[in-house]
Amino acid sequence: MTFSYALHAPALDRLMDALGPDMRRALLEVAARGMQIAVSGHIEAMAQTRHRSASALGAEPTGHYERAAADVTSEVNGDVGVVTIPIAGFSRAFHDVTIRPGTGKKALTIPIAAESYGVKVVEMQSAGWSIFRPKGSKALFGRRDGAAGALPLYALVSVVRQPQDRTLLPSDEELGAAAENGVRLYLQEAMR
Amino acid sequence: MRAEDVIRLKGILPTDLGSEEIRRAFPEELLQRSVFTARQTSVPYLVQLKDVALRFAGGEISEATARAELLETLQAMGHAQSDGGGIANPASRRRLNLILETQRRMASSVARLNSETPATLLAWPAWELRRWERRKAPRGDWMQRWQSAAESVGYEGVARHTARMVALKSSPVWGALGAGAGGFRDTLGNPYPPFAFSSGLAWADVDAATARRLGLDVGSDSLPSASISPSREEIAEAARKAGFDLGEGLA
Repeated sequence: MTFSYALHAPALDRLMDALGPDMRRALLEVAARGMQIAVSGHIEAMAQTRHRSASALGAEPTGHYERAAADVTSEVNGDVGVVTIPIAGFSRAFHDVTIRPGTGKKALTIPIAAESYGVKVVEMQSAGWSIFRPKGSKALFGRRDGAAGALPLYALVSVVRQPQDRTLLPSDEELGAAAENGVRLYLQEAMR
Repeated sequence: MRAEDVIRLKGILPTDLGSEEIRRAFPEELLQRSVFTARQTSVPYLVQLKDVALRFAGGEISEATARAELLETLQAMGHAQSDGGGIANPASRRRLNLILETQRRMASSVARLNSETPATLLAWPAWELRRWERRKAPRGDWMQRWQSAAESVGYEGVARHTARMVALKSSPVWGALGAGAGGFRDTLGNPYPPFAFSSGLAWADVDAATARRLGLDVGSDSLPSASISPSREEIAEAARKAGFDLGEGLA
């Protein structure tokens, strides 16, 4: 996802205005790069601590955040610095998120076992599990080929509401400082 | 250009060859511009793979959703995860993760290369290759690979007296690393990450002061005149008036 961020850095704004359009573009580029580096580092550090769901189930973490931290990119489009974060569900950083079943589906499947954590139902079936819903149950159960017992694998819910989690990103102050630091690094080199 | 744009521009390359044969049979430039996977000739599947990889690289869908979408097609083609968890099974979780993560990392690396400008190069002229993702069995030979690649290009643009894998962004070491200098056969032929199959290493920007401290020749020759059209004094004066702190010794 791409996020828009209104940088509150009046000194930087005044500097950009004073130095003309060519320099303004260059300053936007290094400000965006500074923010990109800060966002990557933040996600990388955060990923080391976000294993609560996996740990609770005794499952391997999926590496959802860790794997994407190095793939954050930045660019300038017109007069806007853009940082792109290639992580599904990252909009939680900006607002509450409500997830409902997709077209043609009646419920969301929430993993409740180590075996199903980070794995879709179709994958379990393809791996040889029989997936079924006992009458009256609000969970999907699974039985591995040849196994005697069945395990509860997924809770079935009609909606999931996730509150905003601003800690997914650096704070406003940290992002502003990162943008300013990018500009500072550039100007220090340009003036050498 | 964003990572998803990079994938959008790629073509489809059906092939019944294995990984090593593909590398021998096709030019690297063609492979870098194509969506392909070993021993996969189904055009509809490769078209879907491109679409899924594009949405995954853009953060639109998760890796699990991407896998599930591909798996539904693969099942219709007669493949199943129960055929085995190894890399040879087109439907295995390991194989699908590898394809998706390789496509995303390659696309984001190309997007990063395309986003370099004279200004960003001036501020961050070098990259460090470092580990971003943990692996159960990480390769223990990255420093050896690095040394082999650096030697093959005469250490041009490579930081020599450090245990860190740092080089100028313009250094030919990146191409040598991807080409497997030293005889490494698991590389992908790219001058950008991932340099080898399932590698958890990627680039981090290195600023000019750090690059200089590591002995790299960070010159001002890459600085286009347009970007510094105001003089040093004009910049300092503008910063002073704007109340922008340029840092020690420069304001």
